[in-house]
Amino acid sequence: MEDPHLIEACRRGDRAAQRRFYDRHAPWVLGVCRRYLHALPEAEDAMIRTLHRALTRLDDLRDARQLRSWLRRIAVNECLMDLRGRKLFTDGDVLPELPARDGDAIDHLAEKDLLSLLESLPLGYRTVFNLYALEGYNHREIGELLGISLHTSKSQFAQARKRLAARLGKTMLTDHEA
Amino acid sequence: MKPEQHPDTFRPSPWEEDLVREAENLSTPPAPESWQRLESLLDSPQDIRRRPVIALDPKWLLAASLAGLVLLAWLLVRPTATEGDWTVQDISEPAAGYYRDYLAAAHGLSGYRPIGEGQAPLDTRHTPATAGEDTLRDL
Repeated sequence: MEDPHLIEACRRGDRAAQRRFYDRHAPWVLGVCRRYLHALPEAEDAMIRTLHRALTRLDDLRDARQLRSWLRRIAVNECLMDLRGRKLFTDGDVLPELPARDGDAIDHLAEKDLLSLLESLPLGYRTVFNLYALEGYNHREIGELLGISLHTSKSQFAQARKRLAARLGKTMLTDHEA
Repeated sequence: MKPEQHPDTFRPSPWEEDLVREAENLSTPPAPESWQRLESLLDSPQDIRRRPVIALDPKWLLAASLAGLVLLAWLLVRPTATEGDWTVQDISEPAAGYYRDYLAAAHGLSGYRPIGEGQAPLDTRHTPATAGEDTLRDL
């Protein structure tokens, strides 16, 4: 069943359709949540809240082609709600530098390696990196979402890139090289 | 990632593009019981709960209750004007000043003197009357 029909069936409260919707979208929604929340149970909670919210508010979705980005936005909001109140930007210096990886192995990063790579970032770095590089928010929007200044968002992102580069044994393009 | 949404400074290196692509495709199979949890939420949406962001500490609740009681007690016992008394609200300035000056001149009460040129403003702070001294209440 294609998404528009599936969505229509879900709107009607068809439980079998809701199950198919869950089977189709839960794994990658959980993937989004795991990028933000370290512990798997927390990420699962956020995933379930995301899908519950989506399935009970499908009327808010105007264009079925935007389903993924709509779901992703809900998931990110749910994760940020979970992160609210935590000290996002104070634990940056306590993690030890990890040894660099060999060569150009990013293409072959296993899921757990990628997650461990992202999890090796302090919470603030990781959150800003996710929001900026993966979700496409700009620094002003991130500042508003997290209650931090534009400058803090930029510096957290720069630090995240440095950490990832060091971890992977890579170099970063500077602005003038690009 | 949508580079056109990054007008500021981000210039991803090739390895970062790979990393972002991999991260975007991250997919994790949920636990087997997740569907049952979602289904029960769908059946009873009022059951959805989020862990409280701010846990209410009983110590803070007790402190807030005590502070409330103290405030209430103060409101109950604080001195208030009784019926027939003049209060500051009853006399507008400068009418209050003229009234006090008049009383002071007429009865020579201590602490009240007409305001003259070069004199300090009247001291309107309350001073307890000593024995035999006239007070406003005696007027």
